[in-house]
Amino acid sequence: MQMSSSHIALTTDPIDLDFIRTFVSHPHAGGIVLFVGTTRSWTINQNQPGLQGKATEFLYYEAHESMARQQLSDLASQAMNQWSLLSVAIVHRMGKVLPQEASIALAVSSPHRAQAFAAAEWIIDQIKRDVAIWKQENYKCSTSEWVHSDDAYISQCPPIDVPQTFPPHG
Amino acid sequence: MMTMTNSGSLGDRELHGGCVIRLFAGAAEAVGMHVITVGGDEVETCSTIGDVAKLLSRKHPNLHGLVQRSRWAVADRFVDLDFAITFPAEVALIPPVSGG
Repeated sequence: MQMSSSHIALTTDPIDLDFIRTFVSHPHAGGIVLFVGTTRSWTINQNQPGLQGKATEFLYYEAHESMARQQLSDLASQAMNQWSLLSVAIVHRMGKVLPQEASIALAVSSPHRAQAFAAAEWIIDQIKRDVAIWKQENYKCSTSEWVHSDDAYISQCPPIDVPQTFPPHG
Repeated sequence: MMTMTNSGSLGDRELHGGCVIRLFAGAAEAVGMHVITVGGDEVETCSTIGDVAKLLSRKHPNLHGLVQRSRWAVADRFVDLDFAITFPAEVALIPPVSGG
C-alpha cells in the first residue's frame, strides 16, 4: 500500500488479522500498532464483595450500520491527519462472537512508533464512546442483556466465583 | 397514529410525510420492534428531535429511562434535541454504545 489509505468494515465473519496488518503496511512506516479487542469469558460484579461474576457464553453485536461506518471512517480520517499516519484499518465484528474471538481489530502505521501507539489508543477510546455499535451479553445461565453503560449489568444471573486465574483489573 | 413494523430495513418504505424512528439494541428489545412510524396528527406535534423523544417516552413508558440516557442521530450524524425535523424524516435513537 503506497498511498495514505484507510479500510473500514463491519463483518459477521471472523476478523482476518493478517489482512488488517498487511493493509496498513507501508514502505515509509517505522511501525505498525495492531489492537485486537477480544471477547472476555467473565463479567465481574463490581458492586459485590469478593471476586464474583457472570460467565459469558457469547456476545452478540448490533450496529446502526451506515452510521457506524461513517463514524469509523471519520475517526480514521481524523487520526490520519492528527498523527500523520500512513494507513488505518478498522474492522468490527457483528452478530455472534465467542470468547477469545476478536470483536474488533484496528491497525495503524506511521513513520514513528509514538504516533502509532497514540493514534491506536485514541481510536479505540473514541469507538467505545461514540460509535453506534452495541453488544448483548449472553450468559451461560441462559439470560441476556444489552449493555448500555458500564454499570448496567442488571441481569438476574446468580453470581458465581470467578477462577483465581482471572485478573479483576487489567 | 403510531404504527409499528418488525422490519429492520427501511428499504423502499414510503414515509407519507411521517417520521420513522429507528431503534437499536435494548431500545428495540424493549418495544419488540426496530422501527416505529409516527404519522397523522402526532407528526404535527413533532418539530424537533426533543419532541420525538417526548412522544416516544409517552408511547412507550418502559423506554423512558433509556431515552433519557440516549443520543439521537439524523442522516448518520448525532444531532441535539433542538434539531429541527424536516418531514418526511428518519431519526435514530442511539442508546449508550458498547462496541469495541
